[in-house]
Amino acid sequence: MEFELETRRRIYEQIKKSPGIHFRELERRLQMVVGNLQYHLQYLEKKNMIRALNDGDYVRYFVKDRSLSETERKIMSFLRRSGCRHILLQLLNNPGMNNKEISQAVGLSPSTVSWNLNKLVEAGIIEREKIGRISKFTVIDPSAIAELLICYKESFLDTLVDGFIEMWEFKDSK
Amino acid sequence: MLTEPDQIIQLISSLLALILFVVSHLAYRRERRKKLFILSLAFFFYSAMNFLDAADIFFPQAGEYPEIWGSLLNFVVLALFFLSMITNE
Repeated sequence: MEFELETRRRIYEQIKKSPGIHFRELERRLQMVVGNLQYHLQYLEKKNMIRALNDGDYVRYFVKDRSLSETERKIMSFLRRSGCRHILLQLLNNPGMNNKEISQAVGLSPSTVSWNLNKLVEAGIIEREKIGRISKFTVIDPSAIAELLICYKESFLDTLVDGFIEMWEFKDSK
Repeated sequence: MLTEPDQIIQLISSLLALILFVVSHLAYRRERRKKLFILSLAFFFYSAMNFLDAADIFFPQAGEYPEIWGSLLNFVVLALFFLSMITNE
């Protein structure tokens, strides 16, 4: 999942950087196999993230301007927190992880992970399933998170704020 | 107008503290942790304190008042840093 997400993000970024880029140029720049590139382009088109225009000679690709819904904006604010972003990526790849497993995977302390998980549960982005004494977590709408992760780009301000929080919280810089 | 080098440095410090205030306030809005709110207040008052220290560049007629306020803010800033250190949430 993460691999696919990364590939789609690369394609999306490339189209965003060069609006109107055609298939062969994309293939050359990204050094991707035709079938693989076609598959991901179809996915991005289906999800309304890019659009294809045929100019007679080439099919050209453009990024669609998305206006985020209230829920998407809420998800985006969580994606701007590096801790939450890493947790969500882990849960996308391995649904049903518990606190301890997530903590080991993202390299954050169990208490920090627990704090972030509670915030994500409160926001209705992930759900908690209690099995005995262990809580397992799953992303409620994985495709919405995946789409936003493709659009998401960390800004300098995000890095600055993350750095500030980490400095005062003594968290790991993941 | 700017004659004293230390006042120029104080003005630059004030500006830097203002930037730190904005960053810490954004951090608070993102995390909603009381500790970060107190820190953002501390940076805000630090910025005001440095501005007051250099205030006679702009208000030479203000006399000793900026200095008194500056000293008071100095205490407030240290108190806020202390408070943020002992705040858990």
